[in-house]
Amino acid sequence: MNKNEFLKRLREFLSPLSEEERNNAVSYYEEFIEDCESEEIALSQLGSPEEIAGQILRENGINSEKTTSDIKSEIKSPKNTTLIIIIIILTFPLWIGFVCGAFGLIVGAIALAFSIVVSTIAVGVSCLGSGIIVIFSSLSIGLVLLGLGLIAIALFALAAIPFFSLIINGIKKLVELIGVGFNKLFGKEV
Amino acid sequence: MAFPINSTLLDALVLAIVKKEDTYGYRITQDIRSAIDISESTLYPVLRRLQKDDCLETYDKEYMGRNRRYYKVTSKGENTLNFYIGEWTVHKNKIDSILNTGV
Repeated sequence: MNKNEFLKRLREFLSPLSEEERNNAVSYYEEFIEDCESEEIALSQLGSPEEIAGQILRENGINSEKTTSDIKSEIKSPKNTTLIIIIIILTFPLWIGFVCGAFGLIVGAIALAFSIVVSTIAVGVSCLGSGIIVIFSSLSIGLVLLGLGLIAIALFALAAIPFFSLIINGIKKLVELIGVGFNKLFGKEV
Repeated sequence: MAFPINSTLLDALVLAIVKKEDTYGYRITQDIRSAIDISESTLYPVLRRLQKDDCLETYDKEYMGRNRRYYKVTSKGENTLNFYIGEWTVHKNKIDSILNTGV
């Protein structure tokens, strides 16, 4: 590796930093190499640009648990993020339909499930109630109604709790996903 | 070298070296490495931090047609150094008194 290669890679690995910090660091090491009587000695003393960048990033409070491959894959991200945003904005008419449709489907599905669960308990209670009343006029029919009511109520009890916790978990996951997506797009540009 | 150096002591050494004479990064590195065994990648973050803490300031001077950044101690840097020297003296005496007992 020669001086220019070293500095170029150092600059890349330091891309999470602000421009000022990055320039500061790169010019420090450029001067260092130039001040040393020999470029080879300087470069062998300095070691790998990844490690140097890692220490600088750590000192700047940037996540120190990143491996060099994480840093390498992040190098591309500032440019990509802007491009992605532009594409999203430009294709808005194309995807807005799909997004609304998908959203509608999800809401519909939730509403359907919800109404099934609610109607179960409604049926259950009304059967129970009318069963009790009808018993006095017609025993057999009344008993059938009672039975149906109890079954419906039992079904509701079985289904309700997992159903509602599923809904709550689903909403939590959705919020998380939105958060992660947001971070991916905007988090690095802090 | 048997004794690892902690960051406070490192700050003190850097400040002392720069206080003696305004100097530049490569020079500071060589001076420090004559006393302790640290890697080059350690020094830049220290210099940058001292600069952000207002203990050091920099100025550029031309040398052989290119730029050289010199470091210089501020008054806050001097006060900090004096504080560290005081702490180090106390610390050194305590260690010595234990190590030298029984000699």
